Amino acid sequence: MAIDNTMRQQNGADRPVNDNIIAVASGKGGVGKTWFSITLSHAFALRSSRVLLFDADLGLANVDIQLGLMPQRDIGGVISGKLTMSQAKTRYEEGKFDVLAGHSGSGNLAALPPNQLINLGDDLVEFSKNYDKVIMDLGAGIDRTVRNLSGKAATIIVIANTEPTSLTDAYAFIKLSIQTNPSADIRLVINNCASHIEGQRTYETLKKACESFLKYAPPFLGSIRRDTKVNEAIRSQIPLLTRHPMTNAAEDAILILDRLIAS
Amino acid sequence: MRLKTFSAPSMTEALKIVKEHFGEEAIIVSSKKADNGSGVCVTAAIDKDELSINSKELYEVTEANDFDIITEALTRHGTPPKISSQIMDIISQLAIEDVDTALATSMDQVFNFQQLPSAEAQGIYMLIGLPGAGKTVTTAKLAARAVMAGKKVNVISTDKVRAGGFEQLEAFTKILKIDLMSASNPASLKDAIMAGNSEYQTIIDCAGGNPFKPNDFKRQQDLIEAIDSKVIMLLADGTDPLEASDLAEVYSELGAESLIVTRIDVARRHGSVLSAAAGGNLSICGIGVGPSVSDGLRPINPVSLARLLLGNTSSRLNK
Repeated sequence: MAIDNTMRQQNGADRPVNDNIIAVASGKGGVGKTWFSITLSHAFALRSSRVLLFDADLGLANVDIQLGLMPQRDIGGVISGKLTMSQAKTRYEEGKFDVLAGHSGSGNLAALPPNQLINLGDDLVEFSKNYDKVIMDLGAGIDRTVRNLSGKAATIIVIANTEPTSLTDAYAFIKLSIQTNPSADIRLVINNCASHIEGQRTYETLKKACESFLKYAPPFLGSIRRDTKVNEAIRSQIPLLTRHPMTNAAEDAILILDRLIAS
Repeated sequence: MRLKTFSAPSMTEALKIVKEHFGEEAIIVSSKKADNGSGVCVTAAIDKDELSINSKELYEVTEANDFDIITEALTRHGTPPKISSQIMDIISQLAIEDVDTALATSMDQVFNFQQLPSAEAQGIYMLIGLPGAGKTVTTAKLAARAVMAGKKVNVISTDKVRAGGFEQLEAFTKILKIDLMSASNPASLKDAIMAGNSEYQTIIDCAGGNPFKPNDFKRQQDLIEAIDSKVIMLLADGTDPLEASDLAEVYSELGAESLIVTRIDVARRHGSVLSAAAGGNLSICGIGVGPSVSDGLRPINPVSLARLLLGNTSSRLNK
């Protein structure tokens, strides 16, 4: 489908989004979405931004686990109407940012009814006004919840790795996003690649498919090199930028942040 | 998108294999020399999932706006969230392209619909509902339908409490040339039924006061239990949806199985129709439109209900 720029802008005009919300999506699970969301949030916070990290994987949350947090409250309370987002958030003191934890182990939140989903999205847009940046860690897949919440973001970072399944799933996510909202601002990150050359090549592959079939290709934010320090940091539940700020993956993540801010 | 890597001794041969495998539509997304140094590896892609695996997803996308239209309509009518969710959940499973049909299909699954009592049918119909719900006028409308179909009809009023209640109905029945019977307690109601012709349809305008008051509830219950009838709840449209749900629950307890919603033409928000049907598990069987006794009672089905909720009320109904 051909998309010209006028149409892209018009369709995006009346969407209730805040330009500080960044969604991190992947299509496929297990490509490093949550790790990247945490690292991005942390990097913004290190630059004195007021940051909220929202675990939008509503039913199978794990931001709090990766951070070693024991949140007393989570998004479950917001959805059931008992808490406001402000009451449900948890401060992650070590990283100097706020976390709105998902509700782990409750599969039924994943299939939230449409009107509750719409309310949740509206609440998030409203609540995001209290922050400089809101990072939304979306669930895997391309279901209604993911599509709906990604629609609230000004920028969507699609993260993929070098495996074909990850590329086809990322492509599916991009395709659906563009069809739902032709003006979506989508960027690509290739994670866990052997070298930047491999990362670039993987991006080119996906870019070619998008250009051919969608007549649109999302710009590249950069690649993150495979780094054993990442796994080590995740296992010890300490953010990479605290534990190994100088390692390859940390450098690459900071570079991506710089490109994101610059664009 | 399908993605597959092929190796071949030369690029020409590789492209030939890709074409055989994926057809003309395929594109090459990357190519490199084979790892063993002889020949090439090409990765080809084809975007054919629109027809196969992703067709459902695509449908949902094209419906994204329709979805919002329906959600907004339900909200505008004050539909309780629980019912809205139920309706929207069904719609989200559907692959239907226009909003009217999508909502109608969902209405059909969530609610029961029934015909209005046929003008020719025998049987006893008892109309209950709050004061002002339109029992008397609807009784007249039902009687008029039967008379216009060339049938005779028995009409009974239990309304001896409200000043002029009986007389109001009598004004209608006189025009229709029907003798209006009166019954104020279970025994006299039984007598009136006996006195009437059992080959005719019987319609009872059963005034009952406030069903939340134990005395009124008991009095109405006794009347309903005295005879064997089909009990129809009348509800004035525009009633607060939660109130309507409570009412339907109590009338259902009294034996109501179906619902006629009156004053549809003067209400602008119709959430009470849905909440009453759900609250009392009632079949929706008709709507009252305007004061005209001759054609003021209309059937309702999933499609007309969907249109009522989605569209401009008066223009839709006058079609």
